[in-house]
Amino acid sequence: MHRIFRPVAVPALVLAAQTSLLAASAASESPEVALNRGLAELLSKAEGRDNKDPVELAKRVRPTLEKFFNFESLTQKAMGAGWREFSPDQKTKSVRLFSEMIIRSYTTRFDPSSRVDIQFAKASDLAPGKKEVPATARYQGKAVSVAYRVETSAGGWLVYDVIVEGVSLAGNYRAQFESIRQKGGPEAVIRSMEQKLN
Amino acid sequence: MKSPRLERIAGLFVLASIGCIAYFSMGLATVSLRPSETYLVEARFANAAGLINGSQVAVAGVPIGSVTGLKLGSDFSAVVAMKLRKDFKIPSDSIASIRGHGLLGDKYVSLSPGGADDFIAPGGRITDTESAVDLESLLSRFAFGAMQNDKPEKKVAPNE
Repeated sequence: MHRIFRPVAVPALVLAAQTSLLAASAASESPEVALNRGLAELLSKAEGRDNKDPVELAKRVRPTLEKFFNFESLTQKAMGAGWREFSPDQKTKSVRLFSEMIIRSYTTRFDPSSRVDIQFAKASDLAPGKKEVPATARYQGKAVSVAYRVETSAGGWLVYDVIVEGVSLAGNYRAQFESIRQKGGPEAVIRSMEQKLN
Repeated sequence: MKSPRLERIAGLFVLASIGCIAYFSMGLATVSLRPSETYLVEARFANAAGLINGSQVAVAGVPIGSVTGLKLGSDFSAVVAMKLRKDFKIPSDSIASIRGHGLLGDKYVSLSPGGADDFIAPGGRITDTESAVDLESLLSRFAFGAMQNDKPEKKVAPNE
């Protein structure tokens, strides 16, 4: 190896090895372990804070959620058959707006001073590369049955749909967006999300 | 004495009537029984209560197939086999939900097509499903939740 490159190459090789080791460990861990890790990180950022502003809370938790949610996949599922009509720009805009809408819908209801407890059960296979993790969420004295549908990606398991009491998050929005799209096309769907956020 | 020719005509008429009734009954279900016009797919539900063999499979309320079998999977989920019209291709991210015709009506499988470019192959599985909503258990859950809510939850102090 050339003497000039040696100081740069050695740390780069170490970094590359660390990155591949991290990726390998993320890919080999079970989805329930990955979700538990994500939940712990999320709660450390959300719980026990004085600031109850949902917009500020959404901004704080978004980087963590982006590590465990596949928002592109979730948005595509929520848009249904109409997704093919969206231009690449409209798709990018929709993913940004829809993910913000989902995060805000939870942060507006979330009380940072209350404890959240989610118990994940063993995942079951849906298809190659897809699993479902059943869970029970306890919050403010209520127990809710939740199932996380996850798919493999380079970074490990990512959530692409959440089933609450048997109702799919993507399916629920798909029915609503479909009727808006049939009346006014993809632009009407984007406008409806912008109005919801403003 | 009645003529045998008249009896034969009456018999043929009865047979033709039975044939018509059978044909239109199948037509009402809008499912062709000819295997060459259908293909099979399956879907796994946590709860398929109310579905039976012959239950309708519909897209936007339009029937496109029917349920052909129900069995229990290895993980105690319900595996529902369906035959669908061959000219209807299902995008791989479609959602199959068990819905009812009204509160007390028959259950059917509602397919909500997704936006993926690939389709579920014959013999394939619809992975994204929504189970039948069990009203009784939901009501019990609300009652149970209401009892729990009577006790105020202990709040955790921010510095704890």
